[in-house]
Amino acid sequence: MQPMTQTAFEVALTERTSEMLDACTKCGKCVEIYPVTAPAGSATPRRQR
Amino acid sequence: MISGVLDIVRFGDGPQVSKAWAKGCALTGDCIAACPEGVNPRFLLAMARVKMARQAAEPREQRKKGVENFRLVADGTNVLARMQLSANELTRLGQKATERLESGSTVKPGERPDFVFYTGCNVLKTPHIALLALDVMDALGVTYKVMGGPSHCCGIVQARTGDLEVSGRVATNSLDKLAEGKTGVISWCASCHVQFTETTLPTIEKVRGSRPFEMTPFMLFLATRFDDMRPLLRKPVPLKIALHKHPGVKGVVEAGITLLQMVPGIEIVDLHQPAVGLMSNFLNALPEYKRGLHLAELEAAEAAGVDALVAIYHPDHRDLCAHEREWPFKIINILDIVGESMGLHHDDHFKRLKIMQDADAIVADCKDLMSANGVDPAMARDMVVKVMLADQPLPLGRPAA
Repeated sequence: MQPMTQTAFEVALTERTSEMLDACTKCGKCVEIYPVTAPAGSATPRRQR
Repeated sequence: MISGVLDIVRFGDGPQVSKAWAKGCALTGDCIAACPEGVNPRFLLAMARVKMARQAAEPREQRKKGVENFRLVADGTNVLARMQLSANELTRLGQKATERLESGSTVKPGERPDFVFYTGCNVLKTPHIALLALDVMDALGVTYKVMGGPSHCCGIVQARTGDLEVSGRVATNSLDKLAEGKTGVISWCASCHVQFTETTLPTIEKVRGSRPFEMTPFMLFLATRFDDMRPLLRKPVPLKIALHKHPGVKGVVEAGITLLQMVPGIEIVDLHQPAVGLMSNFLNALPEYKRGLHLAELEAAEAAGVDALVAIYHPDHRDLCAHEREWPFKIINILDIVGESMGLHHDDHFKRLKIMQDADAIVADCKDLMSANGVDPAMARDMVVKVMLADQPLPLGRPAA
């Protein structure tokens, strides 16, 4: 099967994603706040705030 | 870990720990507020999952799997709804047009309602929750048109298999229908809400230059009408309750607590359990963790001596409700309480049927409605097994002390 042609929606979604990738500074704050500290493994949830 | 997620989104591959994060993300959403750059890491994790799905399968396979998964959702909601609802109730929920009434609308043909009430698909499996939501809106005097079910898909099922073309097409078609409300869309399902507000609507805005509507979660809509709700919450509901919480859509849990506090007779106990994820089903990627959470919450509820464990979202109710048969408290939805105080009631057939735990007995119980709604008994049994009874993350039967 040939690769599907991108629709206007897909093109715009790719552009939005690229903008967000460029804006990310990799500071890691999103990882620090992640409530399941050992992802997909031995999960340790943060207590309820 | 975040660098790896960016690699996955850019190149389709990255370190295992980042893949595990993307797969295990339960959409709690705390990362969004934590980002000082205004980036939405939850959206990037969703895009990472899409990239991983695209890497794992050829386009033809992505589409086939998306179609199969959509069909299971469609069959499950169509069949379970038609095993529990009369023709009039199906019409109210936008699932059946009659000669007298345009399906799901409370306005005359040609008039625009105040809102579109977007149910999503899966709340139709526990339809008493959706019917209570309509009753509450009726009591508040707002006009609405109900849209939802498989004919108004949000596109998440296809996105999960990597088929962004069909996902985008389906979501755009639904979005154009949803634009009918004068003042926007009220959403019930948190999953549909996130899919529309974080993926579809901002992308459509980029394509068309404007956003066709704003979407407000039902609980946050009620929060704007709490002054109107207060005098309607007349009847005392003397229950000691605990709330099952998923904080993925910000403000919903807080609105739910405020609403419950407005009901005379309600005493809310905090079980101090972790509040994680968008809805219960978003923990499916972490089954052991999810079982642990559910068991700990049931034990805490028993220790606290509550009369009822109360959930907001429909998947939480599906996952938890059958435990009622062996724990000393009821498992109900927040709208059961709000409705009782307002003098509104719909029987929770889903819970009654699921507690039976016998597919043949369940189908026999529903035979009259199935016959009236044209549901094939063999198909019904299949859906009861696959969709109702298999939806049991923490097995029934209390663990030995």
